[in-house]
Amino acid sequence: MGPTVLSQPAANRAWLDQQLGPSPDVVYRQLRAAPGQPEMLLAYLATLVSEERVAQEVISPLVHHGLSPGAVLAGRVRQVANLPEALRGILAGEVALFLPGYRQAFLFALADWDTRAIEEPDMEPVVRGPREGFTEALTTNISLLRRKLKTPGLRLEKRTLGEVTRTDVVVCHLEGIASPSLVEEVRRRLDRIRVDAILDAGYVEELIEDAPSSPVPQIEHTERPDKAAAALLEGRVVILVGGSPHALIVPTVFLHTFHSVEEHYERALVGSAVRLLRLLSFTLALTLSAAYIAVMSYHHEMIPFVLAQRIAGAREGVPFPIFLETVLMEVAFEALREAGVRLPKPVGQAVSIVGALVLGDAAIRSGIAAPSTVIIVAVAGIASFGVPWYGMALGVRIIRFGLMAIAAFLGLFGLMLALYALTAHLASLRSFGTPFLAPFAPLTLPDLKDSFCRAPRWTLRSRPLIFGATKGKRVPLPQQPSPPSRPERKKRR
Amino acid sequence: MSKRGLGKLTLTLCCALVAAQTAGGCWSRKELESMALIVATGVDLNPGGSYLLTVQVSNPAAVAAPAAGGAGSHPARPPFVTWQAGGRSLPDAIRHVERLAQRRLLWSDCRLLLIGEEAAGAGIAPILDAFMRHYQPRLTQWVFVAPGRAEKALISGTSLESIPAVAVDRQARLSLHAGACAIRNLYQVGSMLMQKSGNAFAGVLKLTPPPAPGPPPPTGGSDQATPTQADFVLEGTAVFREDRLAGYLDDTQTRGLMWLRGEVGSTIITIPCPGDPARTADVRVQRGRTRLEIKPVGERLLAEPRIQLEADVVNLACPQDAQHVALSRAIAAAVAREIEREIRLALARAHALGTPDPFGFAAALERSDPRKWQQLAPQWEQELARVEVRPDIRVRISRVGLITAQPSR
Repeated sequence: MGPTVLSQPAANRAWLDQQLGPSPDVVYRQLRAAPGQPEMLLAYLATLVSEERVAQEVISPLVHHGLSPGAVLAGRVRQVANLPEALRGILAGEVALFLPGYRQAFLFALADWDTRAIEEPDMEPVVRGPREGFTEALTTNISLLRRKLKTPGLRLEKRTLGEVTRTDVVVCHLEGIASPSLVEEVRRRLDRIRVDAILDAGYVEELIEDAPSSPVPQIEHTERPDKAAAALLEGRVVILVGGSPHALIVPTVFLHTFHSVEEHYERALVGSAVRLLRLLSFTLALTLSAAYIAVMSYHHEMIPFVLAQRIAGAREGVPFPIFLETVLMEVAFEALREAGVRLPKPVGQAVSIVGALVLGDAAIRSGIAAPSTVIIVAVAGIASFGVPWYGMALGVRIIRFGLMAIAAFLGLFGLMLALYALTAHLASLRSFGTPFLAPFAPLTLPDLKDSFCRAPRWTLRSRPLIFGATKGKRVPLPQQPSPPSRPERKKRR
Repeated sequence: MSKRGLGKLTLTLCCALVAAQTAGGCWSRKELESMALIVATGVDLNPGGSYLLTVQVSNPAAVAAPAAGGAGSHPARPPFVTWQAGGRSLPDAIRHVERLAQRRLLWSDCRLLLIGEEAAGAGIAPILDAFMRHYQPRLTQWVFVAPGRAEKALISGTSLESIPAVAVDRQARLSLHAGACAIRNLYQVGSMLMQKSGNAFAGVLKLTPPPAPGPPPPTGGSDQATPTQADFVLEGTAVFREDRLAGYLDDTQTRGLMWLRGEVGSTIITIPCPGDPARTADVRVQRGRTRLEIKPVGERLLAEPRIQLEADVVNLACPQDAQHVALSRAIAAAVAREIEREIRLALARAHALGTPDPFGFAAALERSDPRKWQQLAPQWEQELARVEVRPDIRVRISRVGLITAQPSR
């Protein structure tokens, strides 16, 4: 618990001084309302609070109206009785007021620090839809959510995680919609966390995931408040982490690999088509290189003659076996991609162009790689960008190398075995109690309306069942729009 | 699982993965470019009674897109090469070709099995057997009989396609229902041979002489022949008695055979004009359907092929107006007469060759009256000689090709 607040402000200052050390931004302000009156003490960190507001809302009223906590104008105030708690408040940007004769400290929330403006998320851009994104400031993120969901049901629970970083983590859910047991499970897993630091939402994700060693992520994250709001409305739980623009969404199922917010903003037909395209992309990214290796090294009879002739002709004199050649190209592609991400933007572009165009062309010209291999690797690479869930796309890339290895070893038979094992693994996963392959396994028919297709809004009447959301209609009445029928029109006239 | 167990498992998996990559070569892993893609096979009989196998192999380097900047690095390589080897049996010959080839043979893309006249005369059963037992060649490859030597057709080039077998394949698909050639694949010929009754038949691939006067095509025997300009035509039918070649039907007789078997889909029939035999009219058959029925009538068998046709007029040099109903009827009747004439020609030729049943009479009887068939089977050949064929041909002229009167002459 630590020492309690003493009635002598100077004694408290001594303790704080000892704890904080001589930092330039630590401010102790000793004030007297009038000469001869007892001294009071203000302690805060100048870098975290608005000093202007401290002067206007705390110092000025105290000096003019006497040393009473009621005089202070600041909106949020809390009283703490022990010093370590007061210290934590100071470190989080609160202003501590110690009054003589009070065995309590008053903490005013006057935090004010520079934050990034609300911008469109780079990771999840949309053509149509809102362009705001979460920022690193938790308060901003909460405000973005509040603006979307103006309901008393939006419940936020704050806890502080990380012994050193003291990061605020907020669990959001919609009361009456999210399943209480799900919320309880999230609380339980968060309360288990005992680490020194939470520097990003990724720390939390890793500590609460169901199967952290799986190549497939089971928790989705988003920078988009609209996506977070939509998840809340489906009865899922959103976890906001201070200092991270990524909100975690649980539970997440495999199907979310193919979902992005835009399908719900575009027309249903377009949305469904885009999702099918993503399914194709996912399949290609996962299996194309492996199938190429398998067919080229074992199943020559499966290649149509004209294609076989072209490929064989182009591979004439290529020094590497097909597996090695494909792996080398894949590694080169991944390296280029990584370089493109890490390098400063102007340089990154140059590297991508040099790598993709010059290297690829040179490899083919010199006969070190066959054009067909370059095409396959490029298509698989592009397809992996067609998966909107970034974490899943990374997992796919890793699994792809495993599939390539087994395809080089056992051909299509091996590829089938590996895909079978992968499906079994996916079926064995759970994300916060929801089977990872839901709504397909176990089959949940009503949820298929928003799976690989996106049914029109008026047909999405119930909330998804797989997240255990409490019943209640999203669209209460039949609302398919239609022009008024003839007799009605006559009546109107 | 304990931490240590997990580490051990990961290590084992990694080792297995590395070992697996090198182990793939221990079995069937082969690079595509190390294979020789066979596109056509020819079988001939050598004087001593042994087989001569000719394989046409595509040369991918000649067909592939030239590497950028490297144009001219493969100056004018032939698009295909042919390898030849003899053997006492076909598997033996294949073994010898394998010894000759610099690459591993891949038969999956072979689309043409060409059997020379002599080899066909000696019996095609062992040839088909060898190719049907081998796991690589497809049952859908075309089987043709070449008058003369098969090798001759395989070493000459064609004008349009760089690889002759590709050209034959394309031509065969195009003329599948044209009625001029009895196009059959390996599976079809094989199953016809396996039937107890009926005569097997296959298409005929004839070489036509080169269009321009030039050096005559080489007579084969060389390992790598230079492609010369020679064309082929798919025309006629080779009919087998048991598995030996008995003789050929020409293209008119072949169409007669195809009418009876109901395999004509689209062809053009030229008929003399009703009332003016000096002029001609042509109809294009759009759809044809045949139902072959055979039944005992008294002592004899009566075969009644019901042929229904739908045809369009495509040329009319007759003096009357084509839209006239009476003329339409007259044309239809003339078409029916022409079809019946072709059928009679085919029947006569088949009887003359001693192969009376490529038409499927036996199969039709077995279908409609199995008991009667059992009874007649022992002396089927004599019975066939007494079959009376009475075609019932119905032709419907559906379009005359014009929407107004025809241009005046």
